[in-house]
Amino acid sequence: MKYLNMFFVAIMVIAFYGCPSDPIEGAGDLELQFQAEFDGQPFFINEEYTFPSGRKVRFSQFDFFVSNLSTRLNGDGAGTTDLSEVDFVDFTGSMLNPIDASESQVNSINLPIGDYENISFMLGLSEELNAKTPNDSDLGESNPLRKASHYWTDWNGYIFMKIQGSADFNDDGVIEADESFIYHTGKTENAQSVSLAANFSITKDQKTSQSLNVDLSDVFFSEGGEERFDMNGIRSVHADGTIIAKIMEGAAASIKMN
Amino acid sequence: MKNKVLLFSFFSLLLFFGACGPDNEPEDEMPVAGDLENIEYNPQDFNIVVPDSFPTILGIGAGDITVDGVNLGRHLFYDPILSEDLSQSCSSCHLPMGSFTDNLAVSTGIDGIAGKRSSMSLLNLVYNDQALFWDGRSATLEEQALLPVEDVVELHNTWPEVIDRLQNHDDYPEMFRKAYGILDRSEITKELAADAIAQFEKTLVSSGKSKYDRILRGASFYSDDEVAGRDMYFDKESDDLPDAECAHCHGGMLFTTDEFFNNGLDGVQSVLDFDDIGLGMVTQDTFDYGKFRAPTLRNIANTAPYMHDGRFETLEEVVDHYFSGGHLNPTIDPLMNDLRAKSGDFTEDHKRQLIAFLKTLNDPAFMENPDYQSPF
Ligand code: HEC
Ligand code: HEC
Repeated sequence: MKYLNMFFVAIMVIAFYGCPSDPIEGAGDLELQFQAEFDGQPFFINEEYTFPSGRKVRFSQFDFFVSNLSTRLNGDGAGTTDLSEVDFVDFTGSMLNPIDASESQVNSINLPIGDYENISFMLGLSEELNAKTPNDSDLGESNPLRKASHYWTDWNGYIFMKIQGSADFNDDGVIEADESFIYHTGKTENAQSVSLAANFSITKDQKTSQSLNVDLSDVFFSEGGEERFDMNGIRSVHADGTIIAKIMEGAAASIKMN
Repeated sequence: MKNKVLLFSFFSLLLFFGACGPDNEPEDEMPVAGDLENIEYNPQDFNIVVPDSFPTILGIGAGDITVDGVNLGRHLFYDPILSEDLSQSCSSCHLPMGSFTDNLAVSTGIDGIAGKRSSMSLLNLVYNDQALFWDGRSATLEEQALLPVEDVVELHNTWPEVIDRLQNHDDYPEMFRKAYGILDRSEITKELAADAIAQFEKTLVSSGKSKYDRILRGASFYSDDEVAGRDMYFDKESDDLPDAECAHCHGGMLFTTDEFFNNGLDGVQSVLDFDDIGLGMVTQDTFDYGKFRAPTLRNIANTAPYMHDGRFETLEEVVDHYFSGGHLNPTIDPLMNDLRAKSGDFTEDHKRQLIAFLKTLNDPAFMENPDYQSPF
């Protein structure tokens, strides 16, 4: 269990409307986290992995925004509960504060007791959130939308996801210094709605953990082992709409309820 | 004002016998207990004014930055009393006219020994709350300000010596009292001195009067060269200009996001071959070897020479470096590989245009701000 904690990276839930001031009667805590994997194995930054094609790969940065997270209780007419407006899921951390599993904190959200059947969110930002800028004075101190590093001036919007690293593009068995890639995605039309069947219960005054796994191998390779686009040919992207869409679709498809 | 004159006379009298030497001569007189109690302590918050388009400053609470604190910090910043032989102050290497750099490749301390790094601009550091210096080894301005005093290639002094000089000085005890409400000159500490210097540094923000900022407000226009340069800088889509990728690493309203990268300055085979491992020294992670903080490009035309070791004399040399894609090494950033792959697309015109844009970030009003100049 301790080992598992090592690679759980907590989603920073600054629950804007997830923390009611009065405790709900009959409520428990949901601890929600994103967990990164590569081909079903625990993922670490700068570790070497192998794509289904046999090509070696290493990632130096992986992070993304999720917005409008909500969950739904089982049963007809049962409402949805908003979990958070926007979160930054960060598997890299800053250079001086790298995400270290032992430090990763899990934020919990107080929810009414019951059986939950769904978690849904946008991978990327909703149109409304993407219209903000890091300098907006109405953003709270810990709001991830303050991240200037994830704002792209030419888009008038945010970089939804950054994936950077190196791969053995010439397939000679060694990842060389010039074999790098950098994929930055964004633009509202490329945000993906993700809706996942859930099966967890909140019991009174108890903590329930739920994790969402995102798999970096699946971001680039379909289930059939097909490369979603030619990474070797397109090693950098922050402009090409079709490639951005493919990366975001791949990432959305790779997220599974654990 | 009247009060100040009075107090000044009071101190002159108090220290009359020891005060005949040069201004900064340390005093040997023993401090009198509670000797500052009668000086008024009435701290007023200092309001740091930032341009409208800038982010709000976080983490500064009431009482953290005061008019008297800033005034004290400004005096300390410009006062050679901090250096062993009274020859250098912070301002020796951080001059307002160089956007608070010294315009030297590497800085030289009081003993004439050259350091291995180039001085850094102190512009907009109030926004940096985690990683100062080229390698990020200091987290806060308060922590940073303690270091130059004892650095052998800088002021090469000791804090006990500096504190002794300050406690026995004609004016500083009163200034510390006004800034921090201390009751007695013996309460002057290095932490208070560093805090005051940091308060002054936090006031060093862009004037908002650069051409870039005026254009944002609709009060000026780009020339053709400048607009082309801007479009390359920010990788504007759907134009015929090549993307220069600058905004990835020097982005945001501050033209820095205080992140660390390897921008391909040195072509080495192994991470162990870097002359200066930069961030790697701090994190001890070989993937960070050869990475440095990408500093702000605001006012960049005034801070030559460039890079952590001052290797480039001009912006032309800097842009040549980027347009070539730099030199391959194990931790080079993917964007530098990207630039190298398209280096053939860049022309002399592109270089001129990009530099024209960089010069719209010039901020003479910042450098000339009377509040930032030496109080002596
Ligand atoms: C001998 C020259 C010298 C003196 C004197 C000096 N500095 Fe510096 N300063 C430098 C150099 C060189 C660097 C960059 C050092 C590095 O990154 O390793 C620097 C960096 C800094 C930084 C970090 C800026 C940033 O963007 O991260 C601050 C803040 C600073 N100095 C403040 C001061 C203060 C305050 C004093 C006086 C107490 C002072 N300096 C005295 C040369 C000097
Ligand atoms: C991969 C990230 C990256 C990109 C892209 C990049 N820079 Fe830099 N830049 C850096 C880093 C890191 C440094 C500090 C390097 C050092 O001193 O070791 C730097 C330093 C500089 C400096 C010197 C700053 C100083 O105070 O000495 C200038 C000028 C500069 N860059 C301009 C540009 C321009 C213009 C572009 C676009 C053509 C650009 N940069 C693109 C990362 C980058």
